[in-house]
Amino acid sequence: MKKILLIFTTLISITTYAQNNLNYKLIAKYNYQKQIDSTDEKSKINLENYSLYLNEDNSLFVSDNRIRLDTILNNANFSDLDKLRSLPKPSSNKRIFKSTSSKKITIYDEFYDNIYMYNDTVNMKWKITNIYDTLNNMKVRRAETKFRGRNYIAWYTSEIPISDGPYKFRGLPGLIIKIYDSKKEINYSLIGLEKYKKSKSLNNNYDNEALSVSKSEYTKIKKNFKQNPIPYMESQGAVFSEETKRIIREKFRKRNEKTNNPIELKENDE
Amino acid sequence: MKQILLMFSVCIFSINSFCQTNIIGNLKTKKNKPISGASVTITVVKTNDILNYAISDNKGYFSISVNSKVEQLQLNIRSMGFKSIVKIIDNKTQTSNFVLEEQITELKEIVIKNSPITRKGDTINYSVNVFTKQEDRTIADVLKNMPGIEVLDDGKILYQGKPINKYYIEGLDLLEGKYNLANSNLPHKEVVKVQVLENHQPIRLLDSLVYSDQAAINIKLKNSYTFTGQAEVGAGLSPLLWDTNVTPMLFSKKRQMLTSYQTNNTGNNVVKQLKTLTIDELLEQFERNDEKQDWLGIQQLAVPNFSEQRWLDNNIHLITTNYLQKLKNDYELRLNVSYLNDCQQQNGFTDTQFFTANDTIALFENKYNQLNTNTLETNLTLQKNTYKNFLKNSLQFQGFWDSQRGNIQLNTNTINQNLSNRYFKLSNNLKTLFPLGKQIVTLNSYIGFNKTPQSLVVNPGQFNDLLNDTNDYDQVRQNIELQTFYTNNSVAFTKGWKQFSFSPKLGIQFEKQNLKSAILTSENTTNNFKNNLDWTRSKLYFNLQTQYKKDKWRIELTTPVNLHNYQLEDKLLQKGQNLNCVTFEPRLSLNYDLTSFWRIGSSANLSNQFGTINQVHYNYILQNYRSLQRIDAPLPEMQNIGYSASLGYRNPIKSLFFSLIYSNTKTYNNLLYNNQILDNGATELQAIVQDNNRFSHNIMTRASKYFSDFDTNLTLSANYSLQDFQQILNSETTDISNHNWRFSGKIDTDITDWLNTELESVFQFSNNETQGQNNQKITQQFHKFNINIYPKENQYLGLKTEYIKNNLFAENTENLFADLVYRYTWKKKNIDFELQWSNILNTNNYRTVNINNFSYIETNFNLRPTQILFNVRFPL
Repeated sequence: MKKILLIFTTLISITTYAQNNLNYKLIAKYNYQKQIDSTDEKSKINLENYSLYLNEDNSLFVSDNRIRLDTILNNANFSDLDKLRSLPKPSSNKRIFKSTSSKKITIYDEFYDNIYMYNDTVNMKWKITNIYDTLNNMKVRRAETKFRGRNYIAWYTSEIPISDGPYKFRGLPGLIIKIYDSKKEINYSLIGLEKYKKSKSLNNNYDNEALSVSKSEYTKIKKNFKQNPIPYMESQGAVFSEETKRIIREKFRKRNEKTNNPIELKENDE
Repeated sequence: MKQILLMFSVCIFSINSFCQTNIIGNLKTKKNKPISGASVTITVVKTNDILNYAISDNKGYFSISVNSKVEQLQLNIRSMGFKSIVKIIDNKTQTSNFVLEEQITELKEIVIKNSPITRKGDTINYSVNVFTKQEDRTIADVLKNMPGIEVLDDGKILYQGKPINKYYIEGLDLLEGKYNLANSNLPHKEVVKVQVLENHQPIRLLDSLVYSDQAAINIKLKNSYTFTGQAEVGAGLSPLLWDTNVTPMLFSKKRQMLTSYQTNNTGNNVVKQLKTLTIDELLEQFERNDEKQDWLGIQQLAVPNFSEQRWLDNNIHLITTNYLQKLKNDYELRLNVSYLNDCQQQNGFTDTQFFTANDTIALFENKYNQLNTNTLETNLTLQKNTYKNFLKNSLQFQGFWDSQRGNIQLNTNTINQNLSNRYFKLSNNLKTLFPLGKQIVTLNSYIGFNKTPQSLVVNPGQFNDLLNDTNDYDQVRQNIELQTFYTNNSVAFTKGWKQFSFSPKLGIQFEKQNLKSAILTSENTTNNFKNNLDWTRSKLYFNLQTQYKKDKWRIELTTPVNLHNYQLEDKLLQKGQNLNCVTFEPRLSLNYDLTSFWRIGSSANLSNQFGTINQVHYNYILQNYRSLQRIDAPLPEMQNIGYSASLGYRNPIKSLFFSLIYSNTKTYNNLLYNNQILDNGATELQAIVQDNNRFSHNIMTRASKYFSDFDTNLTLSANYSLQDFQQILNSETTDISNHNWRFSGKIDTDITDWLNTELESVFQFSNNETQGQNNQKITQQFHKFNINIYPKENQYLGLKTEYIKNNLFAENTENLFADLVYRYTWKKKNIDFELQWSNILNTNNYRTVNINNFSYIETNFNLRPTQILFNVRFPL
C-alpha cells in the first residue's frame, strides 16, 4: 500500500509545474475528429475538444482533458489523489506553443512520467483560393497547403484577423475555422469562441520540469516507447511479472496496429 | 523528381521576377508600439482576389512581393483590437508605414454546440444496434465500437481513458470488480441500451460532496429475463487430464444470478480466482489476525520454488454462485456462495541432518501425503445506498472440513499421521457513512467468532520418554480447540488544509480467546498435558496521519498512540500474566527531488509487536510427529527500530535507470527460543526469558539501460543482506550470522515486431556463520530463455525453457524444463483453441536444500510428468 502511495506521489511531483502563466483573452475551441486506423473507415472517432489559447504574441494549443488534469495537479493536495486517478485521460498530452515572433514551434509532450520539450520549425506555404463558404455564421475562404505527407484544406475567416489555428497550422490572414486533410482522416473544426474582457491566465511553464531534447531525439524516444514500452518502462525502473509483460505487449501491439495514422506522415517539410 | 520540380519552380520564379514589386512597411500604435500578428493582404482592387499576403512580425514589420501587371493594388490591414485599413497603392516597390487606430474588434461569440452524442444530464445513452458490427457477439464487442469507450484485453472497461468505477446491469451491482464475467459473456442481442453515467459517485450520500470524475456503465436489457453464459473444455494426457469451466448466468431487473463450475487436475489452482481482494481489505485482514490457522500438521514436503503448474498434483472442483435480489425501501440483498473440494498429493523424500553440540542426527524420510480441502464460504450482504445514507453489512461464514494423511517411511519404520484441521468462522462487517457538521464520518464495525477443532493422530506413539514412561506404544493423539471472539470498531475522517492533509482515526479492538488442548495415548486414555488458557486482549488506538507536500518535498508523518492490555490465565496450571502498556509508534518519511534526474528519500520508524496465543502455552502440544512444544514464558514483546535511505537516478533521454536502497532494522526481543533436539530427531521448543537483539542490513542496487539500436533492454541487479542474531542450540547461546548475495541479469530483445526473446540469469549465494565459524556456501542458479512469436494477430506461439542448478555442499543438481504453448483465435465465432505441451523433457524430480541454524534438510519432490492439454473456449 505504502509503495503504491509512494509511486503515486512521485508521479504527482513530476507533473507539478512552476507558476509561469500564459495570459489570454480569447479561446478558440476545436473539435478533433480522427480516423485512428487508416485501413478502417469506421475507426473515425470524436476525440475530446482542444483549445487554442490566444494573446497578442503567443498561443497555446492543448487538449481540454490535459488542462483539467493540470488544474487539479497545480492545486493538488493529498486528498485529491482519488480525484486525479479518476480524471479522463487526454488523447494527446502535447502542448503546442507558438510565438508570432518566431517560426519555431515549441512542443511539450508527456508520457510515462516525463515531460519532453523540443522545437519544431514549420514552413507552411498556403495557396489561397477564391472559394468561399459560410461556417458558424462567418464568411470563410478556402486555402490549401501540404504538410508532412498530407494535403490539407483549410477554411479561414478574415473576420477574425488572427493568423493562427489548431495543431501546428497557422500563417493565413485570419483564424482557421476548419481544417481537414484530403482523405478526411484528420479534422479540426471550430465549435466555440470564448472571449474575456479581462485577460485570464493559464499555467504554462513546463520548462522547470521538462527535459529539453532535439526533435530527432524526441522522435527516437517516442518511437521506443510506442514500439517497445516494456524495455522503456523497465529502463525507468518499473518491474513486471512475465504474465503482465505478455499482456502489455499484446495490448500495445493491438493498439499500434489500430492507431497507425499519425497526423504527420513524414518527418520533415517537403 | 524533386529536383526537376525545384528547377521548374525556379524557372517560373525567375520569369515572373521581371515584374515583381516589393511592398514593405511597419505597423505601430499611436503610442509607437509595434503591432505584431496583423495580417496584411494585397488584393486586386475592389475584389477579394488575394495576390499575396504577410503577417507582421514582432517588431511590426511586414514584407510582401507581388507578381502582377496591374497598375494599382489594394492593401488591406487587419489586426485584433485595431481599426482595419484599406488603401489603394501603386504597383511599385515601396515602403508604407502605418499607425493603427485602436478599436475593440467585436467578435461574435460562438457557444459550443452539443457533441454528436445526445445526453441527458450526466447520462449518455448509446443505442446498441447502431454500434453493432456483423462479427460482434457479446456486449463487450459492441462496447469496443462505442466512441469514448475502450475495452482492454483483460476485460477492464475504460471511459475516456479512465477505468469505470461500477458496472451495473439494470442498475444492480452483482459482481462488483469481477464484472468481466458478465461483460464478456452477455450477448449483445439481449441488450437494448448502454448508459454511461459520467461523474458517478457509487456512494450516493457523497454525491454532492465528494466529486467523482469516474464513470459507471449501466446495461439496459431488452427482455425482463435473460439467460446466457460461456464454457471452456480441455482434455489431455497423461494420465488422463481435464480442465473444464462452465459459467451460466441469468439477469432480470429485480433478480440476477451468475454461477460457475470449474474442475481440473492439471495443476491449475483455480482457488485464486475467488480472491479479488482490494488492498484495504488485505490490510484489515492482517489486523484481524483471524484467518485459518493450523495448530497441528503432518510432515510436509518443501514445495519447489517455481511455478505451481509444474508440481501441483491436484483434483479440484469449484462451484461458485452469486445471487442478487432487490428488496423494498432501496435495500439490496446479495448472496455469494462458493464450495471447494480439492485433493492434492505429494510424493518425495527428505534427508534431514540435525547439528547438535556434540552430534549430528540423520533422518531419512520417504513421504506420501494426501491433502484434502473441503471448504464452504458464504457471504450475505445487505446494502442501502441512497442520497441520505449509506449502509453496507456483510455477514460471512467460512467452514473448512480439511483433513490430511501422511505416510512416512522413516529408515525402516512406518509412521502414519492423520490430521483433521477444521476451522469455522462467523463474522459480521458493518460500514456506514453519515454527515457530522461539514465532515462525512466513516464508521466501521467488525465482529467475529471462530473456532479450530483440530486433532492429530500418529501411529506408532512418539516421545516415549515424556508420554509413555520410555516404553514403546501404539498411538498418540493430540486434540486442540481454540475459540476466538474479536471485534474492531473505528471512526475516521480526512481534512485538508493548505498543503497539509490530516486523517484522524479513533478505534478500539477487543479479543477474547480460549485454548484447550490435551494429549491422549493408547496406553493412557485420560487427558494429559492439558492446556486451558484464557486470553483477553484489548487495544484502544488513536492515529493521526499528517501529510505535507510542496514543490520538491513530500513529507508524511503518522503518530499512532496505542493503549494495550493483555490478560492471560491458565486456571488449571495456575499460570498467567497481565500486561498493560502504552506505545507510541511514529513513522516519518521524507522525499526530495534533487534534479529532474536525481532523487533521494529516507524514512525512520519505531514499532512494537506483541505475541499471539500460539506463542504462549504452558503445557506441551504435539505439533507434528516429531515436534513437541511448550512455551512457558512471558508474552513475546518486540520493538523494532528501522531506518532506510534511497537514491535514484532516472534519465529517460538516455534510457538509463539506477537505484540504490539501504535499510537496517534493529529488533529488541525479550525471549530466546531453545530447540532441544532429542536423539530420535524429535525437537522440543522452549522459550527462555533473555533480552536479545536481532540486526538486519539490506543493500540493493539495480541498473537498467535500453539500447534502441538493437531493440534490447539490459537490466542488472545485486542484493546483499546480513542478519545477526542469537539462538540457543542445545542449551548454549550461539551467535549466528547469515549472509546472502543475489546477482541477476536480464536481456530482452525484440528481434522483429512478431518475434521477441527474453533471457534471464540469477545467481544466489548463501553463507551461514555459527559462533564465528563458517559453514559451507550454497550456490543456486536459475536461467530462463523464452521465445514469443506472433505470426498473425490471432495466433501466438510461446516456447519457454528454464534451467536450474544447485550446488549443495559437495553435490550438484541440475534441472531443465521446456514448455510450448500455441493459441489460435477463430475471430468470427470468438472461439479460442489452445494447445499446451508442458514439461516436454519430462523432468520428474526436483531436489532442494534448506539450511537453518541447527539443521540441513534436503527435499526430493516428485513433479508433474510431461503432459499435453488441448483447450477450447466458447460461448454458451
